[in-house]
Amino acid sequence: MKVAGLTGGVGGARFLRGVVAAVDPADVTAIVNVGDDLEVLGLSVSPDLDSVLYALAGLSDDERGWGRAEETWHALEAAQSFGGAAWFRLGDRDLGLHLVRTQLLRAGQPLSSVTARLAAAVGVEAAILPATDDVLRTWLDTPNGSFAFQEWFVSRAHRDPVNRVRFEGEADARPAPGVLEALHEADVILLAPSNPYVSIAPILAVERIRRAIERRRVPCIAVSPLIGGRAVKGPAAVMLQRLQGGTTPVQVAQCYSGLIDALVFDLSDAQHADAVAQHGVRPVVAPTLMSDADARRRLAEACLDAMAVA
Amino acid sequence: MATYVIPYRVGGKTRLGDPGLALAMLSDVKDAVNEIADEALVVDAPGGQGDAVAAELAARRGPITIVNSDLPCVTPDNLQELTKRAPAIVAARDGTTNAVSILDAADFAPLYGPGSAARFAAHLGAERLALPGLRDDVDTWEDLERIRDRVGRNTRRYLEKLERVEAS
Repeated sequence: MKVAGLTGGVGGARFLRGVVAAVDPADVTAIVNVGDDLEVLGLSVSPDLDSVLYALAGLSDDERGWGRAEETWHALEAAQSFGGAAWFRLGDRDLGLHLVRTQLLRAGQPLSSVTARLAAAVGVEAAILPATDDVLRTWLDTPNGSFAFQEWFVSRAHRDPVNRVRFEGEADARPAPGVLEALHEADVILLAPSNPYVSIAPILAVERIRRAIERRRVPCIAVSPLIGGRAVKGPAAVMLQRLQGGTTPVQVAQCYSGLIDALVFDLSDAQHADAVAQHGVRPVVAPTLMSDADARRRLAEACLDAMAVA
Repeated sequence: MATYVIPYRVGGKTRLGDPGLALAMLSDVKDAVNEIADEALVVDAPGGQGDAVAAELAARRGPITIVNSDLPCVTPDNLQELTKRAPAIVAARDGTTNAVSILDAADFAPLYGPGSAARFAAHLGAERLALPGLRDDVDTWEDLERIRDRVGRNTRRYLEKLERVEAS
């Protein structure tokens, strides 16, 4: 059974670990947000691709939620002592990946080939694909100015309220090789419990990806990133409140209007099931907090299960 | 145009009480169906599979093959044979029905339940086939033990994982 999953970083990466525990990893394709990609100290960094890569390779730090396990930051401290920027926390082990990626990109390889090579090197069986090899960048318009994603998210600690999210390069962005094939061959398409605005929307901003999902012949199932109206991590709830007028599963469903057949959300939001159904989306209630490997796998199973058409 | 319908209880509710196993078996059935189907539908069957299939087929015409989701040994060849010889059925050992092929969706009647193989055969004038991968349904862990050398890769993988957990 083939699964294609659209995902952002941390929460989505955690979810994908459950998916590869529930089905054969070789049947899973992760289509990953690249709107957060940036250059740090001359290195090409793809935070969401890296989170997915580390998670599926079993290298991620479960406590911290981002980066690699057993990480240290000596190189970054040294860079800082020489006056280099240290706001983006590149760890020593993490740096190894960015060095290799940057070198391959400079040699002219597309991001998708580079990612495939890195994933194979650490034994990841699932396919990890960037949404696009073209430059697509997420910008946040706020009352205090416009910021590139990582500047807003990390440097400014996502404090500025967001009036609008836009994607530089979206008009020209083409799906990376393999993305449309994975969507066409999938038995089920999943939207991970990532932030709809800054993790999933940049993927859907690639016109041909959105169109492939709109015209799907298989179920598309999203997982709400909110539990009891709150985000487990990050600014999803604040953004939904401001841009969609609420933080229930209904607002999540509205973000994916016309794109999903079912929405999986937490037991603590069960009272919203009827309202979700009224939007033409089948409500699926399940425990969505991914506290351990078992919980991750069970959530993935609940999603795959929901592929049965009502 | 080969259309297949797989009734399935969302939540993986089966007598085995293991949703992960139910999903693994469904995955094997889906893989086999995918090899040959023009269209493959997994249909939620909360209140019994007969009604769920009937509702799905109400607006359809033409040949349909209905395959239960607890048949982890099924092969694309089995399915092709069943579809080719429609109307035909494959019964389980206990006389219930594992798979049905019909020439027109309108011929379907929700006859599942104890002794249903005889009812389907009579209603459809169907041939009873003894296709091995379609005969072995899984109602109990003993059923699974008996066929475990022949199950598809998803079920095999799931069983291996269970063994690893038990061993650790």
